[in-house]
Amino acid sequence: MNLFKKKYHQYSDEALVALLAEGKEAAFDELYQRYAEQMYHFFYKMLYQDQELAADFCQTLFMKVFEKAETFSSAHKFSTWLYAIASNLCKNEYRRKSKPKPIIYLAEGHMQQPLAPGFIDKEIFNRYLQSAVNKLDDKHRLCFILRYQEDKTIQEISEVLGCPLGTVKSRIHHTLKKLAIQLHQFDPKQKKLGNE
Amino acid sequence: MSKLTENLDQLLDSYSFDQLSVEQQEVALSQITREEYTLMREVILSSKQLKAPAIPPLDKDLHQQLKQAYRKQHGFKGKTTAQRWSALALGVLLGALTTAGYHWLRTDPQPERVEEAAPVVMTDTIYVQKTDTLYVTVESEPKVITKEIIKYIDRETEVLTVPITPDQPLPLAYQSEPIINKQLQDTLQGNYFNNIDLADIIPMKVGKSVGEETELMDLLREMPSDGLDNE
Repeated sequence: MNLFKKKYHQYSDEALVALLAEGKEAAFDELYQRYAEQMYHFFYKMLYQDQELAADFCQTLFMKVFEKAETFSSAHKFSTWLYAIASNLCKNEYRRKSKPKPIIYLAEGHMQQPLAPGFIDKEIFNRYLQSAVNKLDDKHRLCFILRYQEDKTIQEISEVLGCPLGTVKSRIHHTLKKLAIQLHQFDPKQKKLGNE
Repeated sequence: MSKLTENLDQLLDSYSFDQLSVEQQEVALSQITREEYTLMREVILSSKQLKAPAIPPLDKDLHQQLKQAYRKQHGFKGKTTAQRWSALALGVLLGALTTAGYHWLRTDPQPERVEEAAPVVMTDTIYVQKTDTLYVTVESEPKVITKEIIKYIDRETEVLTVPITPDQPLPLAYQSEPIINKQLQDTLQGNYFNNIDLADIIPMKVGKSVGEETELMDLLREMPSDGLDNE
């Protein structure tokens, strides 16, 4: 049967959505393989580091991809479209819960390597950084995560959120400045300098 | 958003403060302090490193659960594996039949069978819708006129052969001819002499006698005599 099987991994995201709209279930499988984990992490970061909630939202997201594949416009990148749907889901969740739940978590990814003594402060810095990001208001947190944790360009963020480029730049700049002020006392370099 | 701020964000993304040129440092220092620049860059770098938090992987069954949930709700338009196999089997069968038919045509052992074949009699019905004009000349004898003549003759024969009494009304054929009727009736009544009043037939002319014509007589008297009267 593999003789007749299409090599979906060779298709672009946009071509896969078009195939999905035609009813090709295998196209959905390929899209899921490409984006499921990525979107799961996105929801995890956006929705208070709640693993179950992130999984639920990931399922809801791909259900919407299933349903709305026919409405996808090839004028946009699929990933932009996907993040736009995900962002709207997050906004709805924020509205449902009036205030985000501040959770401080330790980014365990950085602890996979043995920490050198000089990096301990860095670890503390990261922990408080995450806490500060969680305390941001929804709009600024969304912009910040999309820009620096999902590696989206300003243009892509503008399309995802449906707002002007200048607004996105302004939000990111103000978020950076706000975080810098909040984390001033945990600046590892300053401590290092202080120790020296 | 000012151009300077935009440039500052680009610098923050790309360079540490020490890596900036003198001009770039001036741009940065016009908006924030060196410490702020360093801290903002640290925030950016740290955030990028935080982008893959270690969380348990997504449940592998989620994918299948998702597809089943969608099929249950909407009915998936795509083909199932069984449908694909059925389509493949049908394709193979059609291909085999086509190949067999082709070989049968090419390797037919008795081509002369075509010559020996009995003539095929086919009956079919063809419906033709056609409009045409036919001119037909029909000749017929004037039977009506002939019949009238015969009838007339029969009437004469009837008159001549059938005795008619005076009280008996005349045959209808003669009732329209009053003069002849009267003559005929007189004859039948025995009036053999000329009892017919011509005045009934011919209108009498009223005039004068020669002797009453005085002018004519005067003219005759004045005429010269030829001498014959005296002889």
